[in-house]
Amino acid sequence: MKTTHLMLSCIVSSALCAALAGCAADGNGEVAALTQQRAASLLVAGRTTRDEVRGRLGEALVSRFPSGQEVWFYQYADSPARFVRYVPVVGRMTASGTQVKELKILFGADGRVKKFKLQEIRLQ
Amino acid sequence: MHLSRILRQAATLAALCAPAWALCAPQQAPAAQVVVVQATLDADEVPYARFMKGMAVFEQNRQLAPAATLRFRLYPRARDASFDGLVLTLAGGGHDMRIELDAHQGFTLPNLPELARAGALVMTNKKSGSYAWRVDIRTPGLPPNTRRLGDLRLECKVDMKGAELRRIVRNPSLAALSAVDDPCTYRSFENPFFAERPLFNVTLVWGTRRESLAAEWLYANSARHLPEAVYALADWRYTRDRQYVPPIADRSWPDDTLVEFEYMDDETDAGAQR
Repeated sequence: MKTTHLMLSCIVSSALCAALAGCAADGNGEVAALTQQRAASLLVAGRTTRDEVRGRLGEALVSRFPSGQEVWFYQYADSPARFVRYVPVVGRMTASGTQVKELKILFGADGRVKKFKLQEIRLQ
Repeated sequence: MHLSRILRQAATLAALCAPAWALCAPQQAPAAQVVVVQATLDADEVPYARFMKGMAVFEQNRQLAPAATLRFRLYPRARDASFDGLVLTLAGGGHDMRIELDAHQGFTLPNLPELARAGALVMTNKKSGSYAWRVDIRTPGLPPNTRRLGDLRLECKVDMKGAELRRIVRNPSLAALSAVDDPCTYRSFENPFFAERPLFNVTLVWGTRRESLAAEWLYANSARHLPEAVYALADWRYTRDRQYVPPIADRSWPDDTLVEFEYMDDETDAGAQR
């Protein structure tokens, strides 16, 4: 019984800690209301820079590659799962099946938008 | 009950996820023999017996990919890995045969049990760690830029239950799990695959059902909490842009599900798509 309580405490505390980091990775929340048309006007291939995107959408989850290209992710989930999905294991279990809105932006090595994708995704 | 299942899965994940050096050490040449050394010292090599075991697992599980053929393939692993001048050899047991490589560094191997018993090696002429060795199972006739989910499931099974080519921790708990069950059917066991080129989007398609992979399942993002030093042990450190983790354990996706790839260098109109 004590062991179960201890494990529950660990999971809950991990979830709370990660909630802070998870929110940061979501940017400033603009993605929640972003439409395809709005995204297209905001993200112009060959022109819009990383700094401009950061200024409009906030900090993203960034994947950097040796080629110099980067992919930035912004996710929004209108459910409690958004607060725990970045917790290893626990987040995955909790968030599985959750529908999220995800904006994915590819930047070229020159730091400008190459293309983007805004889509609804069901988390595995 | 539910919590204990989660914790058991967590323990399984922890046991399975951290990459490490898992390939065997190079074998010693027999003493008092004169040999002509053509291979690089500390060459990239794998015991032939493992490939044989993988071939057996493939034959036992053909139902996952009835029309597919089994090949093996090399992907770049080291930062400076090059395929220029690459030579692949099956050596041992008195044999030294060159293995033909296709344009994608794919190859097949003969079925020679006596060579496996003699401890033969499949070796490149490049330094150890240059390449990521992979099982490569493909059903012919698929649309361009797609893979078949059943093929990927079988690749995982052939590797985990047979060939053991991927560099992951094959610790006692994983070994025990592999002995009694198939780790590839556990959702908590991540199975990364490489695409042909740097990826931008991966979508599963079955009939009218279409679902893309989220950020967590691209570019090894699920490992981003691990220390950078761990990346050096993994196969994907310099090829993260090609890496994806499809939901092969999710049986709601049939084996005939197509995995569609959009690559970074693909042209798109305006960029915005659903």
